[in-house]
Amino acid sequence: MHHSFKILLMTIFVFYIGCKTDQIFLQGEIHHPKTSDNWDLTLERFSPYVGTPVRKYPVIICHGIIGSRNYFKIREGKSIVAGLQSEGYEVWLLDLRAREDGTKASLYFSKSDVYKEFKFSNLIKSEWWFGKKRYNDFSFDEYATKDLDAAIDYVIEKTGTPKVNWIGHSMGGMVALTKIGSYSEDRIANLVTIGTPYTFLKEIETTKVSRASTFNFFSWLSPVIPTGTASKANAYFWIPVPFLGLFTYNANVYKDDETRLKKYATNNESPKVVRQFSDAMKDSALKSFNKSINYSSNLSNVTIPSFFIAGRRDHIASASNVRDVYDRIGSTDKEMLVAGRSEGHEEDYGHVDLIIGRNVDKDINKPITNWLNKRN
Amino acid sequence: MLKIFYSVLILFYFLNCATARTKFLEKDYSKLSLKLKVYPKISGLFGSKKLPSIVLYEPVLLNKDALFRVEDDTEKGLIPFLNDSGYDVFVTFNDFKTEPNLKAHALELGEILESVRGYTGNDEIILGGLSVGGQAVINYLALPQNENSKVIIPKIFFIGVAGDYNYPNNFVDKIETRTEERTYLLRGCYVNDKNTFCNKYVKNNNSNENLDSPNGKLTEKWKNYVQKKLNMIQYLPIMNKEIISQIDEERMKIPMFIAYGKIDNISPEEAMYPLIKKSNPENLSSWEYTKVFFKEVFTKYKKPPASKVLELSRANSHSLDYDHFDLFLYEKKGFFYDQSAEKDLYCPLVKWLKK
Repeated sequence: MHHSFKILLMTIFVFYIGCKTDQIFLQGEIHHPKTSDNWDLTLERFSPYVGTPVRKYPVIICHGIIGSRNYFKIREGKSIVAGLQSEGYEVWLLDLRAREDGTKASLYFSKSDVYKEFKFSNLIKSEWWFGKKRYNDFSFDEYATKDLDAAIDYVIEKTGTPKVNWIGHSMGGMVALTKIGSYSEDRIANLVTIGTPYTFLKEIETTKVSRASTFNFFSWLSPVIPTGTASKANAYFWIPVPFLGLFTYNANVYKDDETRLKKYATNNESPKVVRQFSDAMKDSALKSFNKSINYSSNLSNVTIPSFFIAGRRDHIASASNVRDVYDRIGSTDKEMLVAGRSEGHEEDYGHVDLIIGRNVDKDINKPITNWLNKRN
Repeated sequence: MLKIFYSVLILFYFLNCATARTKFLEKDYSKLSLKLKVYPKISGLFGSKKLPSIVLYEPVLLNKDALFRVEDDTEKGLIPFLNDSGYDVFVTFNDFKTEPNLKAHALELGEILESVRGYTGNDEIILGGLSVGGQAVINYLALPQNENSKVIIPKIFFIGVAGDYNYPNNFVDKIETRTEERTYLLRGCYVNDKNTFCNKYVKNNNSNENLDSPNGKLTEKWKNYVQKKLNMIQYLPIMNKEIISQIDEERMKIPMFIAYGKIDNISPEEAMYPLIKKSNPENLSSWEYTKVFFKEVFTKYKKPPASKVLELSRANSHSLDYDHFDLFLYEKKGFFYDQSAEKDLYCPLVKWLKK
């Protein structure tokens, strides 16, 4: 009996430790800038390490579609955040609207606050269903204009610098390219995009990506694209989710990191954003939601120093798509790197591997900090 | 009665096979600096309709024997597959005693096409570009068209051929400027270092061995087809970094089949995409495809052949992301079914050629 009790305690302890190690420990100072249309965003601030050189501009890092800022922290000491801190940069991780710690988005609109009175349970919160801000209230245009505006304003105000460096993964790079190319933005000094497509070359569209884009009809029917929920269901209950395998290359990502990615760094997405991307694949060009502006054709207006990183095994933002952006922008100071074995890396990088890959500190973060150091 | 019918059927089957086996031969045929070998089609009693011949420029980086392998007493590779499908295949090759100049070879390619036309009596010749050697075909397309020539090129296919290396950190620059890459190229695959040419550019998907591990070496097959050639090449051919822009729009109207491996670091997708873009491939949605299908069935409409792009990758439901050499060598025995380049690449290629 005594032994059984010991075993039980031991099991609980192991389970507890297991749950604890599953978390993300790298935490910064939380800020909530407000957008012009009244959404609270989240910015997480990380100061440079003591004794490091003073850099010219701080760095804002922005996540991609269906993601949140958390995946930039998954690799902890080897993450891009730590890499930049150790080189003397002040780092601000940005969560675009409708993410975990900012203003929450609901499925349906409710004018009054009466929904707050209903308490179903912790699992099904009434705020999930009814609220004043909905997923359907915004498209990619709002990410690229209002959210980016609010974030840069806030960081400039807090740091006192006239400009910022911008690092974006996937859609996080697209928001910057759109703002600079189509809405004139002169507060970004240097741009680094990681796995960022833009023009979606129809000629090389793969069948799985094309099948995924046929889910477009879902965006007309559903008030939300439940990508975050599906990803968490996969992490907690092993429920299979189609197309998930296209985001990472298993051999290049630690299993624990992949689990943490699914649990803490994925988010539900606005149907309008998905519809806009789906149309971009169809038209081979990214356009504003009302189709009045062709963002892709304005890429030549991007003239700031830019560094494009692609993953050799990336099925979402293929190296061809990244090269197309490289070719189209108007900068004279531009560089491109395809992360993979031909660069002496251990493995060819997939889409999210570029952020959470096993050797991301050496293979990806180092070239980024080296490139930024020359310009800061 | 039925017995007689079956006997005749079996007799026809054996006659057909017997005819097929005796027809294999190779012969040196050209007097140009480029040599030419002929691999005739397998013709049985039920001979297929007259198909145009195919002229291939050899892959350069890969021993050309890899295109015609004999393993376990069976012929494997691209050429036997094309022969089986009813095509005569002519392969140009070089002894690499002198520095291979793809631009100069492109000039000879015109003469070779003329002599093949004389040999086969068919004006139509399909051109094929493979690996680094495919650049000779691209160079040929960039040359001004000979108006006196009777040769008609109805279709062209490219397998693992890069067209435009005009971007930073590209393969050509790495080979030309980084001395260690050239050194490793000469030292071949036997160096136990992740910076070897083989480790960077040859992914050994065919075995579970890791090239990094002390015992992880290439399998026998890979040694035969890759290592020998790497030892033989003292330098890579002169490759034009932006030849695509020099190709006339009229030439780009020829339907093209362009295939590439997802993780190919020698002819990577970003170096192929300018060629792909210029070839203006067809990309029909399922709805558009259905409309064309019914139009062809119910009317006299015949859709003209169009260019096609094939990415060999998991995102296209292939068993793996192909690298450069997988395009010619990949095969894996499975429990239920086998996987190979033949299934993933050569089948769709022939289907497109015959369309």
